[in-house]
Amino acid sequence: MTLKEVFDQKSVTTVIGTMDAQSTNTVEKNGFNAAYFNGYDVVRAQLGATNEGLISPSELSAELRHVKEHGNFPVIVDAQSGFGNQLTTYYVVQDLERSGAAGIVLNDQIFPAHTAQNEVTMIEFSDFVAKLKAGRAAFDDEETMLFAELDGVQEYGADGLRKRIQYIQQNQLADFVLVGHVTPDQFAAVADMTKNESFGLVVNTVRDQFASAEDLADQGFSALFYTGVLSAARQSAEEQAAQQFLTKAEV
Amino acid sequence: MNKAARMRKAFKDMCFSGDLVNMVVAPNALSAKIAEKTGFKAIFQAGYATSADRLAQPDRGIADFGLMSDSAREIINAVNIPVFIDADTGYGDEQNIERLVHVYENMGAAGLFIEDQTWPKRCGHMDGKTIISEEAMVSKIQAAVNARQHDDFLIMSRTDAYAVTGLQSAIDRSRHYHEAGADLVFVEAPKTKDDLQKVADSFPDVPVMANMIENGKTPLLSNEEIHEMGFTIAIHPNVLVYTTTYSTEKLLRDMVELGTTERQIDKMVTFPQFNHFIGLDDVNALEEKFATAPIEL
Repeated sequence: MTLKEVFDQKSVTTVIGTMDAQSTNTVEKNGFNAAYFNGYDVVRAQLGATNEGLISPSELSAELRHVKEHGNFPVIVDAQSGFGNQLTTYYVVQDLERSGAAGIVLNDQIFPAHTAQNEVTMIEFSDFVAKLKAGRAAFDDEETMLFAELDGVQEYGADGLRKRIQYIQQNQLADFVLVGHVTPDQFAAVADMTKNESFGLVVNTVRDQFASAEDLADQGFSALFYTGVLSAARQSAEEQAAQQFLTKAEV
Repeated sequence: MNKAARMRKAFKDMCFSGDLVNMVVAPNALSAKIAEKTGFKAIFQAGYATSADRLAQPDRGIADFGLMSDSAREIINAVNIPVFIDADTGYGDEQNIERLVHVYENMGAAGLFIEDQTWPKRCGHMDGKTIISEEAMVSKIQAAVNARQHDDFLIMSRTDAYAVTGLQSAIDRSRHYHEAGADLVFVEAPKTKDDLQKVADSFPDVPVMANMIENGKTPLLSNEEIHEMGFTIAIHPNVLVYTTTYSTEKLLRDMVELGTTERQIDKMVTFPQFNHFIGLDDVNALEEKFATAPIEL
């Protein structure tokens, strides 16, 4: 199934964040139709850190190529803020698509993008539009999907978010709009927007505390991108296993 | 003392000896090895050559940290002389700089420079450069200095302010970068000999680097002239890229036209010469050393 077919077939598409071949295989084997290879999970697994902006795009694409050795399972890749300006966005997206990305997410943060809520700064919307155009122009395959992620509702407010979504959709700058970095105080306003606009929600399960996927789907979000689920689970499982082994060894 | 420590110490001793540290930029491990074998005591790994060698792209911020550090690792592992690193703008903010200092220090680099251009950067001798605020750059230098694990891992400041706000601004910035902890100073692309002299005169007690690019913005001077002016570090960043491009193009045109390399053969090393140079004898000897010996139990 192609990525476009995945998004066309369901009213709500849920995508789980992955960080390497093992986690992507886990997502595929457990019935999901696509994975979200994203900066946060990759940085946690590869660098042992939690700031997605620490990874460089060539490191991301090298890991992606390992993921894609295992088949054609659709992988959406987090190209963050394009790792610079429109020029870097063009080359980064080109490299990620060549490395096997079926979809690319670009966000409207200043480079380097950050995961922590208090470290996020936004670029001008005109610059984001230019990056989306550069990203789209870099695609070789017309089936590759472009996702525009708007991370600045804290800065430009619900009205600013609505206008940006409408502009992107009316001008067909992306195949899909995602909203990220939504804080609890903004959540109701963002959820209310789903009555008129079609967009997905990015949830970092370590940072964000929202309702279950079922409840979020009921709110009207048309896609749910979860990050942090598997990297946090892996860390927890590793700690448990190491602790158990230590206890046995001591005995 | 491990190799990384030996290289850091050797490079620091060179930089503060008062003699000229003469470095060529190596685009790859092979050219680094040639530089070492022909007598260079230290080499440089830099963006223009790496972008050309690894991506066949101009130095416009397309080569990122992952690619640059991969190339640096290959070069460092190929030689036994200090390798100094062009870390561009640090590829992000202070957190990125902290990471890159750890990575380069761990792989055995002798030190690195960080520049005050905005990202994506341009080669220092290209037009259209823009720079970040002095305060932002001071913060980056401090981040690099605080991140290093060894004091002899040298941090150089590079300013591109000459092209944007003029000579005095470039000197003032460099002074503040030095006060923030930069061990070495580099003012990129002065356009006249007088301006080069003013840069050298402004830092009598700090090792200062001069960048000699053929057909660049700065007048091309000999190592002797540079040293007499007061510079103690010289780099030749593009000469190997230009020479390789020139000779490769000439050879390949001949091959297309004549269908043979016969006319160029006297400009090549021979098969045995190259095998000897690249260390085939050493590799064969190593294998022989660990050859399986019969064991009776």
